[in-house]
Amino acid sequence: MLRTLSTSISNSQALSGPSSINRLWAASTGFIRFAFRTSRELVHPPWDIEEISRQVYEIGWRSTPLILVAGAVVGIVMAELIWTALVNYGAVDSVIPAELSRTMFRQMGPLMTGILVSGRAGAAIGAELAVLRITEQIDALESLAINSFRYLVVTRVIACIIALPILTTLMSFAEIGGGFLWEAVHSEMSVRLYTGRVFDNVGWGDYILPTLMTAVLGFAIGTVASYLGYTVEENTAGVRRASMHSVVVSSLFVITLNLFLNQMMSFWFPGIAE
Amino acid sequence: MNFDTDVAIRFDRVAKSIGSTHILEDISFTIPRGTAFSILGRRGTGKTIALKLAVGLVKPDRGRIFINQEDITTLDAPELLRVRKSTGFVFQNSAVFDSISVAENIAFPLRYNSERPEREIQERVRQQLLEVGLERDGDKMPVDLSVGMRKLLGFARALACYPAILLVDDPWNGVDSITAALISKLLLDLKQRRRTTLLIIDNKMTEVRPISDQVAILEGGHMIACGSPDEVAGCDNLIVRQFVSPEGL
Repeated sequence: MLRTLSTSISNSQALSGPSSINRLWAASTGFIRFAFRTSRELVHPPWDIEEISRQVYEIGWRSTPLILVAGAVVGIVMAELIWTALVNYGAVDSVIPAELSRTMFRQMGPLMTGILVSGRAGAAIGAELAVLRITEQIDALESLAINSFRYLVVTRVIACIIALPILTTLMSFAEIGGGFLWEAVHSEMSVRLYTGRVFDNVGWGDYILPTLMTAVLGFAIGTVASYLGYTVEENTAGVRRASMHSVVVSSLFVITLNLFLNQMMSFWFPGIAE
Repeated sequence: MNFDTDVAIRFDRVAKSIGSTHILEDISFTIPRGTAFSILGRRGTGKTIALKLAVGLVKPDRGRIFINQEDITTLDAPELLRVRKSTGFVFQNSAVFDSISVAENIAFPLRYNSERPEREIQERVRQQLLEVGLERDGDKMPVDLSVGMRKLLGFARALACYPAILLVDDPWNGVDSITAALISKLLLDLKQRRRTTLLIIDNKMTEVRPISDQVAILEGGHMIACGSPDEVAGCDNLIVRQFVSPEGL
């Protein structure tokens, strides 16, 4: 109890002092420089295709079960919510598939995928790079004349950029599948009718732009997690912090970027937003 | 400025601080090609930092460091990688890649830094495993090795690309006497047969004396003695005496 109290006091003092502002400033400027370096190196070949494929497998393929299950559950919940909201206006069963698909493709699919991937892959990238740093394996790579930034950071960020749109597509379809389960139980709607209604009001624009947008979320997740792991302080607590902050900061980035990019899409492509 | 082409490593008035702590102050030494230079010192005297400075893993605050006549303090990242192709680094805690097998650890720099065919890489890996006595452990994961075996793996990986300069951090630390003898033999062999330049960090004169052509003692960030093992052994400084013959004091 005493130790908990003293820890919380020291934490609150650490957060309120001018040194914490300096640390925040240093971390922010450090991250901006890191993100610029990542963007610059992303576009320059050669790329380590083997390592990128391994990371796409780790970040993308191994997230698939989580995405499918979460998507189906979110689909059921969203169908229930739409039904509750529209039940007083009548003809609700016919509206649910179309509303569900628009919401999923445009908003919930990208957002949920971003948050889930930042939780699963963000934490893994942050912790893995932090361990590599504190066990001097990053120094070992450099000493072997291997560019550790390209080998570790660029490959992971590219993998996130590739994986996010694919996972978002799976998430959106899993959500629509979940919506169908709800419909099938409540109104005994056939698959054919449901599928027809799902795509009634959805065009390619509703799918392509929001899904491509998730590549930006992938860049954010990969860069934030890599930054926190790659630049970790050299102790065990640093690994814990890198892992935890990777999830927190990348989730915040995902939510904020999702909102911002949706607003931009509505501005630049008003037809899609209608 | 011309430098002797027979010089492999040169430190010129190098200083390094971390935060407000002065780690190294005005460190200067020269290591001729094909010779062994050992730096002795107590824990926390900046020995490992000196080694990392030598390969550009850490930047000095002041001074210049030359590897094969090239001032590495002025090089950018890609040029540093080029210079590092002529050096090998054996880390104190081995720093072997724990997610790949022993054989893959050795093959890794060969695959990444050369266009060698796979058959040649496998042959080189086999040679390296044989040289350090790990020929039956190629398929194991590093976590299954003892501290001494990991240290040997660190040697095998660092030597895979035939570096002209080898930097070794505390090679005898935490290893049994048989492995320690094997490491001594390996280092001596590298110097005598392959003319590899060695920069060794350690804390016992008895271990480095048979291998070293020059020995330096670091204390409080300063180099308090530097010369041949016999010259350093004859030094009157109390701290130097403690390193030379700790039992006699």
